Amino acid sequence: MDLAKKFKAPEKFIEVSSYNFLPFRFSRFDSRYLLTNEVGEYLFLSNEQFLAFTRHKLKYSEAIYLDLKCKHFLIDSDSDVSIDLLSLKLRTKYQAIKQFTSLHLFVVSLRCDYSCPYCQVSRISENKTQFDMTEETALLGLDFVFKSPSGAIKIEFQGGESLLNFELIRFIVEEASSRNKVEKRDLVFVIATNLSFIDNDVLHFCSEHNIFISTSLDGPQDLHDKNRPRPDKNGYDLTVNGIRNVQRSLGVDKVSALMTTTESSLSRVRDIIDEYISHGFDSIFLRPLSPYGFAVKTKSIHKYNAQRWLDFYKEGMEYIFELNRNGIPFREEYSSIILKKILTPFNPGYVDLQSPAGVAISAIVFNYDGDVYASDESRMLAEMGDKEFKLGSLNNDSYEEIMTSEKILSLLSETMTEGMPMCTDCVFMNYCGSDPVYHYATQKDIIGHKSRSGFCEKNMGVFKYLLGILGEDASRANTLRGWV
Amino acid sequence: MITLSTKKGIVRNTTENEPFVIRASTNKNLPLILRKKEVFLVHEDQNNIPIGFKAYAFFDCAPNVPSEHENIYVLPSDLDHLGDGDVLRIDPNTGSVRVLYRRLSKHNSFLTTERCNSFCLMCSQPPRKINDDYLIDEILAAIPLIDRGTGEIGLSGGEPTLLGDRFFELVKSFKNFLPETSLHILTNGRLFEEVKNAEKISEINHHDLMLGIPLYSDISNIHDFVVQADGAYDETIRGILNLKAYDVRVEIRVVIHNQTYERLPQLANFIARNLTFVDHVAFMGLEMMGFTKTNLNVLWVDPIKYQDKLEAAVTGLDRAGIRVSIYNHQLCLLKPSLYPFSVKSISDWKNEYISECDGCLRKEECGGFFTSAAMKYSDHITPFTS
Amino acid sequence: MVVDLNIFSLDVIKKVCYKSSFFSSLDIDPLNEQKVVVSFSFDEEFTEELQKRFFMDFNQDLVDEDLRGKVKEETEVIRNLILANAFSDTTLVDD
Repeated sequence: MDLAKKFKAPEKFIEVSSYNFLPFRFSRFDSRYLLTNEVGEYLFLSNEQFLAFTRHKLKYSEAIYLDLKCKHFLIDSDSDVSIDLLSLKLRTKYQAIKQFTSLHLFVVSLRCDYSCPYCQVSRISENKTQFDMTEETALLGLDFVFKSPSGAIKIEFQGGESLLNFELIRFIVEEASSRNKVEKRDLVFVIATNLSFIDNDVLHFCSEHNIFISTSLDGPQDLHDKNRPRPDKNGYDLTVNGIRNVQRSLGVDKVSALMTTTESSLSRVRDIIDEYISHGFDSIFLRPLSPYGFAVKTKSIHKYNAQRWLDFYKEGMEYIFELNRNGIPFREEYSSIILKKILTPFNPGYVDLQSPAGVAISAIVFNYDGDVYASDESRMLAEMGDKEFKLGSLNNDSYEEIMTSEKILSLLSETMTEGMPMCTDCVFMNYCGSDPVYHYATQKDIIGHKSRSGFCEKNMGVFKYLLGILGEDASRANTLRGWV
Repeated sequence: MITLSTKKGIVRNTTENEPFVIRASTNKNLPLILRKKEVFLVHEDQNNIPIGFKAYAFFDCAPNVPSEHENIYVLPSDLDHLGDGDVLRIDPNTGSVRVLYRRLSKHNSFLTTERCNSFCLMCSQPPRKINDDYLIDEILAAIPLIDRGTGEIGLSGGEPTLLGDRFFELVKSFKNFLPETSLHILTNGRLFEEVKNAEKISEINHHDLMLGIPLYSDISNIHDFVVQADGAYDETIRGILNLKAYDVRVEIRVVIHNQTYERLPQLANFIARNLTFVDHVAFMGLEMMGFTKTNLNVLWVDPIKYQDKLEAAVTGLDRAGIRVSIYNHQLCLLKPSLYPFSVKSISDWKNEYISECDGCLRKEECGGFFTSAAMKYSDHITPFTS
Repeated sequence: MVVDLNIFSLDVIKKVCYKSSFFSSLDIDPLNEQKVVVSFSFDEEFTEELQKRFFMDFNQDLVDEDLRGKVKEETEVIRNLILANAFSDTTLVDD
């Protein structure tokens, strides 16, 4: 290099003869190796590069050395600020835990006007007193809510069909809002509803209190009505009209839709996505097949189902890429959550993919009768007869008793993926999480043997798919990066 | 590059013997009590020159100088743009005048010292190892004279933090006398590796402070090479971390040239992952001054060549929610996707255009070149015709 | 399959067996102080071809798992440093 005399050449600043590893995980990935680290950074290495790297034979002059250095997979004598940065990034990733419980679900009524076959929970009944939450219970629930230290609180109303007990929703919203004048949290309300009973009164109230609406839309009419039969057989129409109504009165960003994936959905992903586009939604959450209600006939049923779901997911993603190429910005939500873990230093705080599991410390459920559950799935399990994940009762137990109970503490300590066999060595560990309820339901063990786990199979499939694109396909990778 | 250029003038009837810092006025009706502290500028009307001013400045016109006025300075006519509210340093012994502050300019900047602990390849203000404490004295004297309505003031060097306690004294003075003015300090941030320095600057509690800190690579030794200081990368990053821990606003500045353009996307990714809390990232084009001229063959790269990398870097940061801007690039060289980030930053009186710019419809937005560009610019300058 | 304990530790062997237990049932028996025998029994559906693949993967997994152990060992000190640093009390992350 032709530098003026008083300047030192670049070689003078690299006096490095060896390097050390910074903690990382690895795995074979197609014909290459994938490396990830504690803070979510990732890097693909060829077999030769991996070999050289792990044998400490990689030369400073190689381009891959620089990438390994800047992504904090190795450290050399030239710089050690990577330690400070890794610590900082690690702390950032765990920040969400410190926030503690933010999502609180109030099951205001079990009554419902639908009879969905996959629902374990709802009751068609006129009997209000038997299946509705009372004001007393609701107040106990609110006491609980505001004991959480989290700055952001989300109260979601569930059911059954939550609007069948709209009066209680009104009561809770008003009471919570009033308490929040003092508490000053970032308080958000969501009503999960099938939209059958969304009239002007409800809309007006939602508008006043800035409430979000979440509804179920399983796909085009035939699919939706098949999955979610309503005795009067006009479920789809009600839903779609309801969506339009809410968009018009409350705003397009005030209503979101979730789908339930059933056997019938598996071959219809394009139709389902089309349905979502036609109603103005710009994203979809391709939800997994529910494991509940499947008798464990063979050990492989869950993995088999996971594979079928992965086909569904990939076909959906291909279609979404096609849409994006044709100028329609559309996103898949589950992928977005995972991409946030892969591409940013942040934690998306998605309850079902956390380590330790998000039970209680991220989300908690108050059933209509005051029983407290670790998650919505826990509640479903209870309705099926297994109260393994019941944490206590608002009527009998205090906040402290529930939140520091042996039940929760052992759930938390046992669901840290860092300590689970197979998970602890998995290259995708930092993108993944624990689902103790799923594993309990399918294997009768909250950790489960991951080689038999549909949860593991599914997630590994998604990670491989997304990372494969990020590592190889520049234009689709670009689309994915835009989702974060 | 700030040259401490002084203009020489002629002195008449002076009663001063030490250099002084003074504010200029063109207000004939200034109350007598204030006139004692200001210098009156005589532009055209040499009649009715108000009495009582501390000094008078004429501009190269053969002044019809009334002899009863004292402290008369006849300045070269290229200073006749001086106006009301400007702040000058006048040396009565030599008659030299230095303009410290111009009220009507949007880009006032003070040179704090020419000393530096780095030695950047492209330094536009090459360091000198001298005792230039007088510079701080002058600035401190000027601050109370500066118009309170000034939008922003810049501090640069050399490396301002080398001034130690006087640096903090300076920041405090800006806060106290100019509570509505934002302060932008260019610093390599290395001395903020010591936590107490970050604490000190934070404690001043300046209402609108931003530190502009350069980071030239995600790789330690590449950055160290560009700034010609071993260990600078680690110090700078620790400095940034400490400053942000104390809630001081930090902007990362990246000068793009042949030694830094190749890893722009990786640097952007590094910032998005590790320094995600910075308040701004600025990508700067090369200025043909100081050491840039000396090292041109090692530094020059035609901006057209790195547009893809710049776009990837900017997009990456933008997606991460970090504010990004591009400075000192002519619009015709940038990819259209980057126009929203481009800031017309070449300051008011320096705008120049070259013959290739004739007929260009976007001259106003663009800002053109620095005067210094005459020595080297892109082969791809093309006017916008639609 | 006979595995030499001088090459792969028992921990490594057990880990790989655990991972592979979905495809076959495994037994580990000591042969002598230096070696163990790992016996596999596959379901009928597991063809020759699949079995061949399985053994290739199994062997590769032993190597990988062994390397993981080494990496963990080499990075233990620095990992503890990072963790200690991460969870000490500072004000950098927005509370």
